[in-house]
Amino acid sequence: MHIWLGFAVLALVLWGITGVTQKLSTNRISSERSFLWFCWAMVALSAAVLIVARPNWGLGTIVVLCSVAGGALNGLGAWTSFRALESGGKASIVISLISLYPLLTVVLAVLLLGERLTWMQSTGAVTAIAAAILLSMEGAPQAESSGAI
Amino acid sequence: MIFVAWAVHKRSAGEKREGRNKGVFWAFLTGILGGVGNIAFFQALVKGGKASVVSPVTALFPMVTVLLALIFLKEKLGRVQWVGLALAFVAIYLLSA
Repeated sequence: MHIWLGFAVLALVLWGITGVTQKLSTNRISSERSFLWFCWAMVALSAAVLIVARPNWGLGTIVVLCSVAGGALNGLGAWTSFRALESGGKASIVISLISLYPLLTVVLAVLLLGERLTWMQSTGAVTAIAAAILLSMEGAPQAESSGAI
Repeated sequence: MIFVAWAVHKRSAGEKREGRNKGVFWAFLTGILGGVGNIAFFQALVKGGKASVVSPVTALFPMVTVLLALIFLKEKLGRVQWVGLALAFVAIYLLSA
């Protein structure tokens, strides 16, 4: 197995768990308070990375700007997803919409980064997006749960 | 952050105190898991994964949410979700080729 695939699957698993924890949070507190504590956790994690990893600070301006823009867009996306869940959006529907983000990433990666996909990878990308949509569709009505833990 | 803190102050009146601590715990846990997930995502790109491949793989995260709901919340999966689960494994195989 490729190393990058292992990391991608790890991200998939962790983000999959957050689909549940996000809903459990907004069941009890406002989206703003949820987002604020989400940010504090990120700050704590960043501090830990700073201490443990000792990153290289000799970065170009473009790299720093891209990183800041990535973090800001990520944060805005997290907040809007908390807001969508708080305002009555079912986790299954909200997650289905969020999981469509690769549609944009694939197009931008091909256009801006000049990436080229093999036939297998292109088929895989389309299959992954279709799978994400199908997975997020609601199950049988009798099987619904309140999600309370 | 200042705007969000202001919004929290304005909208916190309706929150029940007993549920607040649990809500904060789940939000904090979301941040930790999401943050570590982000680090893994960056590492996948650093280790040679293409953005156009890594992104669709990670977008399969509802697969985990559905499995957790199946195991811990005792939810039943619809036929469409089972198809989605099968497609997710096919997609990971194709993307890793």
